[in-house]
Amino acid sequence: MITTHIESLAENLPELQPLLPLHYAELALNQDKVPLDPQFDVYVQREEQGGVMFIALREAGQLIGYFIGFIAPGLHYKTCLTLTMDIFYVHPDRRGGGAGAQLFKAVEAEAKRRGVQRMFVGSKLHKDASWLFQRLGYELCETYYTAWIGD
Amino acid sequence: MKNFLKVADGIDVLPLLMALKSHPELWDQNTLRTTHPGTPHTEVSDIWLRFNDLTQGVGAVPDEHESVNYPAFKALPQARPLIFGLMARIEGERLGRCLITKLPPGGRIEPHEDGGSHAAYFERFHIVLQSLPGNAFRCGDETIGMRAGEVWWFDNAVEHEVINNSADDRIHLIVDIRTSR
Repeated sequence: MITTHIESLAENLPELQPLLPLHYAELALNQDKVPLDPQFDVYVQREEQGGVMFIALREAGQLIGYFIGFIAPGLHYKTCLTLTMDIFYVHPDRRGGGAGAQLFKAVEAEAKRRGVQRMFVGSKLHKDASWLFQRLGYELCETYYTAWIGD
Repeated sequence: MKNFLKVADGIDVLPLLMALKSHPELWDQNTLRTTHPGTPHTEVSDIWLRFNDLTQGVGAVPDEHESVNYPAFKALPQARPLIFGLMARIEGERLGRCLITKLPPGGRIEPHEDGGSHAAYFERFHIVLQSLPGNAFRCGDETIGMRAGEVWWFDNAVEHEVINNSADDRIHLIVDIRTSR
């Protein structure tokens, strides 16, 4: 059984940290130049201010996936409470059975409960999850580009 | 949150948990709540500390709001400071049913509302004895994960359900208290 849980990111850091390297290896860009080095203190600070949503995906108590997002009034649209996805992850062994959709339905329900009016979610093209968002009825709204200019 | 309110945190529940380990025979001596037709609690085990006086039969309860002590209350004195500490904390005026309930890993309490005059008369509190990550307690449109040592009020008139997707039993001490209105 896989279930979703609204939990505290700060309290879950010890359980979350072993998953992050797997997540990074699969999805991060420019890995030869940009090591995984999260600013956990900033996450915790934002959570203390009420600006973080952490949804855990669990099976028999084990953390097998997660969604982290930031909630705030839009910088350009202060009347619009907005949830902006930071990252999401489902353990590779648990994909294909609807866990991703289950996760995002929980995210949406909790966001609605908190009064969020608009959500932004996204996906890397090299590990494209657009099918998931399309299935959930989300609308394609933006294309992102990247360039490494640090050399 | 409108359906949940955390009343206390950091309560020392270990003495009662230890006592429960020493008294496995106390579970399921009273199964009315878990076996009556249509009960949402088929997967739980109970220990009744205080409940209605059923000596004359379920249909002959003299006062629905009056609970009496059951033998388990004497066998588990470690529950008393938790219950009466809560009574004092919230300035309770009348103590109702008190029971310890256990939901195994993978278990579920089906969605239901607590009806009847007992539920309307008393406020319901949960003293969390054991609950690991993976437990979800939904009441209305709100879902929370309670942790050991926490005490919560929740609105049991609203539809609620529990899923224990954790690695161990979920054990709560449920306490009904009449409060000033």
